[in-house]
Amino acid sequence: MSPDTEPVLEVEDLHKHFGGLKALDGISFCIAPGEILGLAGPNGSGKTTCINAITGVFGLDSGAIRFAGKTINRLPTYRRVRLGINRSFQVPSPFLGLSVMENVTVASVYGGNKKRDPDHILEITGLAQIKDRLAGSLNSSQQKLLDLARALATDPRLLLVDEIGAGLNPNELARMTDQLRALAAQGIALLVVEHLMDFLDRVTDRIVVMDAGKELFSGQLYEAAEDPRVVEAFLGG
Amino acid sequence: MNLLEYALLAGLFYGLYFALVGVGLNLIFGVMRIINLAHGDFLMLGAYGAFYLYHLLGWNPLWAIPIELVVFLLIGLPLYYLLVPRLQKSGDPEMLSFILFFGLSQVIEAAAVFVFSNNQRSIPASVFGGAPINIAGQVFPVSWIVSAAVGLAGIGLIYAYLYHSRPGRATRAIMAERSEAAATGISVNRISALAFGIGIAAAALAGIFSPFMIGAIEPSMGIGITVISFAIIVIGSLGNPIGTLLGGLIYGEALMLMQTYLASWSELLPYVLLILILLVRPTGLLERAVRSA
Amino acid sequence: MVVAITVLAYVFIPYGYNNQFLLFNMMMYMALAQGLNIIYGYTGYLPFGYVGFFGAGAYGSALVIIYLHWSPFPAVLLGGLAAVLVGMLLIPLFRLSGAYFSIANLAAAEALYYIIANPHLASVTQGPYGISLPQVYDPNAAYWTMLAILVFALILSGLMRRSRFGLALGAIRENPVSAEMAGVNVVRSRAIAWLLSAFIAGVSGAAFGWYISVFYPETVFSLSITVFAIVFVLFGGSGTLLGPLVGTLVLYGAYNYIGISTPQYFQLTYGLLIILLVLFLPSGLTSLLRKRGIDVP
Repeated sequence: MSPDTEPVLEVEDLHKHFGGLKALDGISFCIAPGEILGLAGPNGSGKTTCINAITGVFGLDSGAIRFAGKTINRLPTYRRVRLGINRSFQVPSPFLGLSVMENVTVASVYGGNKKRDPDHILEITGLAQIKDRLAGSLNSSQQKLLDLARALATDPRLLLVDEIGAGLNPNELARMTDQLRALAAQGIALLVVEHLMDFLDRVTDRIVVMDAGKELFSGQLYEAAEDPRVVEAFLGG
Repeated sequence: MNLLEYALLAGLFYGLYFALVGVGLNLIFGVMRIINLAHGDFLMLGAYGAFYLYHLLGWNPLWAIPIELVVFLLIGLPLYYLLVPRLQKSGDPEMLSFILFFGLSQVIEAAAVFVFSNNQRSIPASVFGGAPINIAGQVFPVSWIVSAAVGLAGIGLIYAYLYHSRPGRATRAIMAERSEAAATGISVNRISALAFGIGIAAAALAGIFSPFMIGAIEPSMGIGITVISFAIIVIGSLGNPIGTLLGGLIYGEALMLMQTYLASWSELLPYVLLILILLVRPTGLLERAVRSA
Repeated sequence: MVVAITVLAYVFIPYGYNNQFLLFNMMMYMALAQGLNIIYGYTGYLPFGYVGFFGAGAYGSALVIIYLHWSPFPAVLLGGLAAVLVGMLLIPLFRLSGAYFSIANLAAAEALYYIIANPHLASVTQGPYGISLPQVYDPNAAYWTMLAILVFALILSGLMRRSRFGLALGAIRENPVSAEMAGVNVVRSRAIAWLLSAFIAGVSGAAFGWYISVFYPETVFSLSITVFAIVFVLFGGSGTLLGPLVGTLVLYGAYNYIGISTPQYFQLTYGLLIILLVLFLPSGLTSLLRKRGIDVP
């Protein structure tokens, strides 16, 4: 294996339960730099829980998360961010009372090793014209972009994208597709959690389908559509 | 062991009473997600009501129950419409309501000083007549038993309201999921206003018996009682009015045990209990999460 | 600018106006309002038991003066440290959100009061009988000390507004989860702001104890001290440097005009003011200026 294809993220046998509910039940996968991995599955199958576990929102019951070869299970979130992991939220969560510029500046000051120029980030995410507006005054697709911009300002090597396609119109969706592909082309690994199959099809190289915290399927999207277990999970759930 | 038995039985009476002290705060929190920091001040007003009915008209405090129930319901309804809907439109209703009701608490306390003066008041425990009652070989004042009975009845009525009446069922729907409830055609404002009125009336009702269970009536007693009530409802589980019964009982028992064995530190109890419970078991005995990050 | 004007005012007003106690209190409340602003305005946590730090500072410094015969200046600093210590004990409260934090903090301050006022500890804290410090009585020196504290608080608050750290705190206030995703160490940043805020209240309490030199537990743990500071901040506008200053100047001035003889009048006015502020002007006086496009420091 050449160093380039070594996975940047390895997730191994994650277990997490909340009360009686098994949210993660032995899921494993890995992502290589520049790869876009799709994560699909019915509601409540553990996709967002996966992202939360990788970013350290809560601890795991068991399992290992390795980032660039280093086990990060016990690191607090901000340390993981500084190592190069970031995410966008399903419900966009910018700092509503701060300006667009300030939103990105915080992340570039605190978030990474390599300082990213906030102006440049705003340029590539298309937010430069509205950089002085309060984040709270943006519409929801602008807030999604701002979430993404904040993540990029920390100079991530792994980006976890949670339902970023939901609520975007076809134009915005196409632009988002290009944007994610461009990020992958720079060597950033992406994990894309998504409901929209069409969107997944356009951005991902490979997908993992989850159900009840376990892996149901791993491979190409078109194969998944023919897999009876996947069909049943989506229709039966 | 006589001492222990006494403390446990007394704790039971106090517990039933303190459940009534806390239940109004919990009902309002459960329905509106608002912490009524003026809760203790409404209790204080209820206490003054009973005091003046007794002092000026010679009425037994039991007569104050129906009167205050009506009066405080009538105070609560307009107060709700005046304050709450506006708050709930704001960005951070929980925090802002906290501050706002603190302001209200200050207003009530100051007004109470003007109207009632700063003197401490009390109602003689002998109004309930008779000699102390003998239970299981222990002797207790009648006033304790009356207070406990009223406490139990109050909780029972609120239970009956919530589980066996139409507005009560709507109230529970709002507690479970506000927006869903609104979508199914429940008039959220009307039901909430009613809950607000009941919450305040419950506080006033508890106030009637405070001279026997808590101590002298004075305008500044409110904030301390609010903290105690808060401790009780957090123990019992926030947003679950019936859970308050358990919170009250635990508080009552803890208080009586402290007063029996560690009297000089018993004033610390509600505060320490509150902090510990919030930190160790912030959900009380049931679900509602109050932690962030 | 703001700092310079404030300093000049307190240096020269005493020559023309002889109610030093009033000026002292005004400075003290400005410092307290600023200290509260650091934790409330910049991180969104409202400490209802803020007076606990004030009392801890007053008692911490008084006790080293009485028992260890420290001179007042180091004792005032130690008062600040005593408050910081209390603050550190309370850091776990940050696991609670919003109003729960506030009420737990209030409970903590009350608990501290009952511990200090407990007759069983009279041999250490003098319990309910209070503290008397005739040996260091020197209101003038305490006055200047308070001015230094105020300047410190103002500079700190001003720095918070302009620095990276202030920006991080703002992010935490808006959304702690996202702040963490921006790489901010939320727990540590919040703790630093909290302890700085505690320190200001502690040294203020210590200087106050020194100035009046005879006080009781209920004097320095009075809930009204928290209330005043909160109202001053809310009225002026939280999260700004000028807001708490203006709030204190206007309201404390008004308090002295109408409130001294019957504090209830003032309590009533205060309460109404709080209600009206929350309903109609939740961002305070300075937000009126900002709406007109004037930048408020």
